Amino acid sequence: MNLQRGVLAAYQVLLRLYPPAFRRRFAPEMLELAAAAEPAEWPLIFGDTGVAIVRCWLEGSASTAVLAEPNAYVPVGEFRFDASRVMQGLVLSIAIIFGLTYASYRWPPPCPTTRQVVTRIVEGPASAAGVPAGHAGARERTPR
Amino acid sequence: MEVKDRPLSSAALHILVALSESDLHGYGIMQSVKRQSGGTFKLGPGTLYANLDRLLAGGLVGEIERRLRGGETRREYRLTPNGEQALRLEIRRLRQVVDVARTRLGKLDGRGA
Repeated sequence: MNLQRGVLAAYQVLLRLYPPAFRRRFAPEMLELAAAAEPAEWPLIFGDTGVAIVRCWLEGSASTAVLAEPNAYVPVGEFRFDASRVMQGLVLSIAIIFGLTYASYRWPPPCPTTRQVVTRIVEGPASAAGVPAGHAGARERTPR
Repeated sequence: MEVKDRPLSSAALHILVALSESDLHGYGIMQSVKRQSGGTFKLGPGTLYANLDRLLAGGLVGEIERRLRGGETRREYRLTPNGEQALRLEIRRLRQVVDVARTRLGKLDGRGA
């Protein structure tokens, strides 16, 4: 199935955003889980994994603390570009841009309590005495 | 306070309950959690492995390699004695909460009647 293959490829890219030690230890199993999942479970899998990645970076993982990647510490000035780092940056940038675009498109949210205020002029007895109709009588503000 | 003495998150509790039945691999844990909660608690892979990572580091869960018929190996997770102790402590803690809540709700019912 092409769709499933595409979803799994996207999931594999998502898994690359995990810290390296965590990824090495658990990513193959997570991919197996995604492969065994029903299509109806894909939103849960992607959403849950996305949140878990952010939490993993913010809170740190036990694997990250115990096992550092062999080449994790590169002396300043010797940073090397490789395809996986570029891909990580690309995916993260696209996610941020999409998020910001969506937020700006949806902001401000429609306010359900806004009511239009209509001023209704009630003709009073003064109009009969020659006062212009626009200034006569009481003004009643009616929320619609 | 040791890891096993800390209150468990609901995901960690469900994982330990699942492993108290038998050794399981990741997918087995997910299915077991779904079954034991009557389908109301679905554990995603991100939450599952984040919790397993902590439980492994805390020594509450161990991992074993199981050899399958075709010669392949599969990693399974097992409840350790520390994990069993943590689960018993958590159940005792939850029972206390339930007892207090039941007593207070009973009083509220009495007041309402």
